[in-house]
Amino acid sequence: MEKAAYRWKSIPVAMAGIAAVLMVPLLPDYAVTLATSIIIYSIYVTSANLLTGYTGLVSLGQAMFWGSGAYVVAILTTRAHVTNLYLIALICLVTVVLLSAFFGALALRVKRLYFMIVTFAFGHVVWCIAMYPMQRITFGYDGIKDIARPYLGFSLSTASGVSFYYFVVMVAAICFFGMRLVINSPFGHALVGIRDNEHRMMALGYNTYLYKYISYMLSAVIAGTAGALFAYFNGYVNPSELHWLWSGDALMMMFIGGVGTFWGPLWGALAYTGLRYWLSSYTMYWFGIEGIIFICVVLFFRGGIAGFVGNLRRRLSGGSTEGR
Amino acid sequence: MAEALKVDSLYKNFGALQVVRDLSFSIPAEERRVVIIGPNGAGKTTLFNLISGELPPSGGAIHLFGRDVTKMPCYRRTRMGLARTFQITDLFPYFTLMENLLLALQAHDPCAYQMLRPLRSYGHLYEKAEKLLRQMKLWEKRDFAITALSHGEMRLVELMLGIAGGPRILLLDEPTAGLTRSEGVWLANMIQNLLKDVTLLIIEHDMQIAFALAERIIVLHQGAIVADGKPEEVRTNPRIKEIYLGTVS
Repeated sequence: MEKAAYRWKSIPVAMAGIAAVLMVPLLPDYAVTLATSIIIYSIYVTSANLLTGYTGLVSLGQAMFWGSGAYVVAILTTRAHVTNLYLIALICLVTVVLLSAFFGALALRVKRLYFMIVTFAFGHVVWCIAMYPMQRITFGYDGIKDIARPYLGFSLSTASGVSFYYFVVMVAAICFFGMRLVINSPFGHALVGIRDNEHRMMALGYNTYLYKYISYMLSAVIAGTAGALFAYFNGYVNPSELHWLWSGDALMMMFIGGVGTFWGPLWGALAYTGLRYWLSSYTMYWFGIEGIIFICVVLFFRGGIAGFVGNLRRRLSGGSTEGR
Repeated sequence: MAEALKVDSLYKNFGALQVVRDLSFSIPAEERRVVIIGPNGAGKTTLFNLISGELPPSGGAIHLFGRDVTKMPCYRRTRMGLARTFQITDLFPYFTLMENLLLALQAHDPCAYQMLRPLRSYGHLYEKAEKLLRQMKLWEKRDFAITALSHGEMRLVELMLGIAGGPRILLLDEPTAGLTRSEGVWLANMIQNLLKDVTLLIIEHDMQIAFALAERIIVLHQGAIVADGKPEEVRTNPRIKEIYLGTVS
């Protein structure tokens, strides 16, 4: 009963949100560009959130999938002159699934801290491979430039900033919707169970390894999608997209936004990118300020922005502020 | 008659410490309530961990319904109809009571890997949960956070998670731990009435409850069986008195 009432109340909020997203192109060009990047990042952070927030696996290898997605797009469009977006998407998907199937099978043999270290190492291996042995294809440090925006067919072009923005919003909506389905499903319920008490899940008859493996691959596919979008958005890809620092950024955005909350990744990407944009126009030490903010969030706002907003909403509607 | 469970010269060492040594017993499928007693450190819980597959044995074999499961992972043994509860309540703290129960119920449902349909749409799981909750008189508290329940209620939830999957063998590790005598007796009755078709293997510290429940009693001491038989036989066994009263053995 209460939940239904809550749902009715959230309709205006959802409408306002959708309206805000759709009306971004009324703003100046730089704002549209900024919004596009925020949405792409939020997809990326969602992938980390599925793995860390919902399954309880802290990975430092998300950039591996983001970067793979980006490189597949870059190489196919500039070197192989493939222009069909759908073919590229398919090849991206296959690449990311194969990569995650391979690395996931290895990394999930260990748990907790060791899992994090192993994913970090794998990510770094992939970065090194892109940098050196594959230098002739990836151009190493120089990266690949001049990636053309995709053509969607039906005479829909995404060449302009605004049309590309809508394209990104559409893909993001699909990703978020898919994420929602997964979280609310029995599968998602089991993932959270594994996060909270894996040992008991095994005793209940769950093949927890398989669940974690599927979650790892799903998260890789989402990260790869975000990476591919980024390659089109940026028009330029370099090895920093594969670097573990970018994996760390995913975790940072996730913590700022709210770990294990559905909208947390969007909040996190918004705060992180917005702050970076704003701070970097004042000081070159924005990195340090970002770090301080991150520490404050971890120390004082465990639930991140999403947790804070949730508490606020509950307080305003007169309910208790305690968690369920 | 087929054996529900057969343990064959089982060993478990933790380093130099021998916790379970040369343990053999079998439980026929028609046997209902076997109670394992023994002083602290006798290896009772370790034996459960070996049977359920949480620990690999150092030697010996375990058969479940005539099948060798010694190397089988925990979750597959559960699929075969083995379930357990834990001595130290081991639940999902961030879920409500209902969500805890659904987690146990969906594990054995074909929907366990379904990721595109909401859990809420599986009415039959909710019906099963409701039935179980009503039996345990916890239906009113279904939306409570698990941490808001009393210790006794948590013990009940622990039991419910064990029986939710409809097991054929259930290992109950001190189901009445931390309960008052009257609560313990109530729970023991509940177990007796609710689980008529399940083979129960119960670790119990309360002797009164143990003897009231048991069809058969196995006494463990220092990782080995010292007595195995009907309650009255065990009660009169002089060796048992020695172990429990602490005389030099």
